[in-house]
Amino acid sequence: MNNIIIKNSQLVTATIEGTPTVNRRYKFNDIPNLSRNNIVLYGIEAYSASQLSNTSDGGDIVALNDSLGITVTLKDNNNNEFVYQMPYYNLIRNENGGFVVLLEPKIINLTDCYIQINNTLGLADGDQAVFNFYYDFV
Amino acid sequence: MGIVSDIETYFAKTGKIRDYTDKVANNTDVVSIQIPANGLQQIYLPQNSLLDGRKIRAIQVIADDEQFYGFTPTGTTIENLPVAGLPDFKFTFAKDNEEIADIPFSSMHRPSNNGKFCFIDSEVGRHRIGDCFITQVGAGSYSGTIITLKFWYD
Repeated sequence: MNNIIIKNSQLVTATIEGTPTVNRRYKFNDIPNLSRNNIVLYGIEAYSASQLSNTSDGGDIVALNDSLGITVTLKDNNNNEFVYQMPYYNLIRNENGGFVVLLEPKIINLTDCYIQINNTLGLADGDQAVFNFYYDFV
Repeated sequence: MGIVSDIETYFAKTGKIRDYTDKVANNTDVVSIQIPANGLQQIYLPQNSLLDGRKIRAIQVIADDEQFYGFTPTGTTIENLPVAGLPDFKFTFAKDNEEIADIPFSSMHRPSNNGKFCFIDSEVGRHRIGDCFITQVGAGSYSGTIITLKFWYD
């Protein structure tokens, strides 16, 4: 069984803005480093507040129990939803045997990727979903 | 374990995956930092020319659930960072101003990940330990305790 080797990584966030609403999509925040066309994403990991207490700018991160109310969709540069409604909880390495989810390397369209709420229980305005994007250069 | 698909072949050939049961590396070194203050802060690692000149294969953070006390550079021993404090920290692997990888401590702590390592194959010249830093992102009080980072290298 294989596990990821980190080439490069960057923490990425999606913020729940306003009252959390079922089915609503919250786009990822832009990071210019990851918006370049010479970068491919090949692995992803998510964090709840049990793994990372705050974002670098002091934002609140979703609690572990509340992370079950979130799914993740990733889009590539052709706008294909190559990861569709993946449970956020499945991406938390600590909760999944220490394995990081590997993906077929893709150039991503970061600001079109989004999280989606399936249950608002425990979620609040300003909560952030935090991911570590593992990437390499083309 | 054998390679079973084209995508796994690609991942293996481009150095993106390793079997988690593989030998990690031939050597290890420890970098210890005593946390200077409470609250939000950024702590740079001390220079380490040995590790700068080696290929780093994995990084591990050791909390008090693995080793009660850490060693200071002067040889005294002080409590390691409590395991409950791990979510308050992240590590940035860097060289000059390039931040190569951002890794929360919880991803580098083996007991939290069923014993699995945080692999990071970094060739000689790609990293400089003195440019790497730790960021405390949570408001916890850990002043005086030690952060013990174990670097596995070849």
